[in-house]
Amino acid sequence: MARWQAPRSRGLPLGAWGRFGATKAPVKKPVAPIPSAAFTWRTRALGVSVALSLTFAGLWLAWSRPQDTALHFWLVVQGLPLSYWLLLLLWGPTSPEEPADEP
Amino acid sequence: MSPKAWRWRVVLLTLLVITVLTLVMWMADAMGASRTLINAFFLVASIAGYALIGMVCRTSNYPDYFVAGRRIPAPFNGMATAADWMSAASFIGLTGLLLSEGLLGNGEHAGGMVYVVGWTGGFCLLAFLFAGRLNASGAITLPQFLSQRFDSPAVRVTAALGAILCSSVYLVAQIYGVGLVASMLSGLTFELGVFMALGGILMCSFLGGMRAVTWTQVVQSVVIVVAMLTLAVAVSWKTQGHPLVTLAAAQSMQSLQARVQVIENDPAEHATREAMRMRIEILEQKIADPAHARDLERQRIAQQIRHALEHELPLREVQRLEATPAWREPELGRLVQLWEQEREQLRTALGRPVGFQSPQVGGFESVGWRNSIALVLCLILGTAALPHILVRSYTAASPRQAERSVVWALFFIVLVYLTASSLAVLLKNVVLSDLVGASLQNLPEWAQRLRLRKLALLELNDHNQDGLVQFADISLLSDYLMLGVTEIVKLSPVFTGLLAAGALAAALSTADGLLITIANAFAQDMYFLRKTDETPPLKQVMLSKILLMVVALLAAWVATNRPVSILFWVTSAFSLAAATFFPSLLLGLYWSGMRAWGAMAAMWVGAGVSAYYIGINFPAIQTAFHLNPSETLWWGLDPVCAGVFGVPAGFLAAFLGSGLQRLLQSRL
Repeated sequence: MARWQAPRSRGLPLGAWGRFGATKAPVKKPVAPIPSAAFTWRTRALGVSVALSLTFAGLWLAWSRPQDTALHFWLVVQGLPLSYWLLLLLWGPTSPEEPADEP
Repeated sequence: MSPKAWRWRVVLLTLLVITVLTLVMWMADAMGASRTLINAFFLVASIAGYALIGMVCRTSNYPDYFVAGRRIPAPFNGMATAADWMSAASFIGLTGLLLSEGLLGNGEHAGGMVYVVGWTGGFCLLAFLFAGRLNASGAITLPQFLSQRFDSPAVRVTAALGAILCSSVYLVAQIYGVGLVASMLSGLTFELGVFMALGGILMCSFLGGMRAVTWTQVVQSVVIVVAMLTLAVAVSWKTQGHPLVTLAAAQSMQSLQARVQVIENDPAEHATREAMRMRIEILEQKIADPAHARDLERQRIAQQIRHALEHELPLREVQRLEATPAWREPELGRLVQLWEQEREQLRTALGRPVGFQSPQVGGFESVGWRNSIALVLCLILGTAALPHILVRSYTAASPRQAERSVVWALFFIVLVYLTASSLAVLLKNVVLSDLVGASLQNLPEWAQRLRLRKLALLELNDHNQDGLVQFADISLLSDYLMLGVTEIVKLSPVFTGLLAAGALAAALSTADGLLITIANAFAQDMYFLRKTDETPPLKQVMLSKILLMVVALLAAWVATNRPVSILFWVTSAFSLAAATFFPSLLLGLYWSGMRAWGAMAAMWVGAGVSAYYIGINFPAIQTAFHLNPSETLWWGLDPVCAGVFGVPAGFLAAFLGSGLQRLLQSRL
């Protein structure tokens, strides 16, 4: 299975100014690639799109009926935060479980 | 005890301690203990408890100090994230904000709804986009992750500066909030309140770093949730006779809307508003020709003082006349400033909705709609990019655990927010039915108490001089109104103590997280930039601890100068975080073409544009440079929406910077 890895730039061949020097992580745990199938980024993008769409739909609905207090209160102020949580609960964790290096 | 069981026992123990303390204080109240004593007990007991956890969790072990050993399970990491995130502004301020500004705002500025939506929606972006991948990086700070990604210490220094900027703005507001809560509820002076809280913060973060902060925050999250739920249940019981808060809000909503209609159609309310409009016109004439207006007013006051002395009126009357700004203020510029302030206060009061909706909300073409959309974007992107929240991704045991911890965090945050918004409905109902229409000579007892506080939570101005309170006469200090809930609903002082403990936990937990982020940015990302391998870990931890103390003292000193508004600074911090980190993080994680130059340009340009917009619209800077507020606002957007300009500028800079670096790479 293809393993996703954060892309690393090579830096400019201009000595210290090109690469700005190199750094190493002080903790021994390596920069771990996330073993994830190609679909996870689509899942993530879709999740973000759903969250943003919910937000703008909620605000649009509220502003299209500006005097409807009950609608604003129940659907947007109480409903949207709950729907974000449900979205994360049902769809949220997209990374696979990976044990830590140290117990 | 199994290795896992003790964690849940910490939570259960916290619940038990809260219950026992509350019962003890209840008995003390029944035996006649004063309100101040009960509040002080809750504050001191909380700080002592957090300090104790700090001491138990003390460590100088490198991974424990910086990332709590990277082994915090999702539920506890989520609780710590929730406490880290729920600041004084959201715990104390949200109810008051919804109550006084309404849901959609006044047609010019955004209302409370935007804050609830933005502050919770951002967690979806955090979980989907960043949490798992940051955890997998194995870094200990956000700047370190960016420098690993781009193989560049310059990126690390830039990111560290950005983290210090965003977190400092936020930290000062939190310490200010802690000082206010401590001084208002325990009778201490503001400065002493700040330094007492500082002691609590330092005992946690100084001794045990991230490990102590994490476990303190777990306990603080329990305190916050319990305090908010208990208070809301008590208010619900008192007002509607049952403990179901949301149901009580639904019942109150019906009577509230009926009461709002009566008030909005009341001729006395119209007369008050007309009197306020006339006062605004007079103030505008004075501001247009201040020297002439001052002379005329001084002549009038001199006449009145002569009259008072001749007729031997009480000395208080003479003192009242002499206290008039036009009489006592020698500088014309200062006098104009006072008139302008009064005009703004009157305008704000006129725009404030009676219920939860202002009649001036307007449609999609109004400035209010633009401000709402801009602010919700800033809050969502800012929540996903705040350095002290992102650093919580590193303390989880695995990428999946980091993402799960965001789900847990949002659960606790949503619980508090839904309760806070229901509480706003219940309180508004009480204010409208008890206070509006009351005689100024015979106010409800709670109104008198709130007026007479050292920091008055309620002001009443009888604009139409009819001796009755109209809605437009009421001015509530919305930021801290929550602290007066127990008086408004006539609850036992024990609830004030619980509320104080919750507010303190909210402010301290956020301050702890921010402090450790700033100190680590200084120590790890700037001082030990190139020397992490050759410097012994113990030395790195010790320097971080020293810097932590220096930063805490500096922040406390700035906070004692009393910044203007907690909500303004907190919201500005979100805008700054969104503009500084969101473009570079998103492109850094998901675009292979992103380069170091692009990352640095994104951070500098994003932060620069946002800071510039907040700066040129800041009242002190406008006065110093003689700027006109109507000319410095872009499309009428409020300064706290600065991120809406900073984020696109950051993305553009990232594309240009990366393109330039790739071009040079290919040429050379």
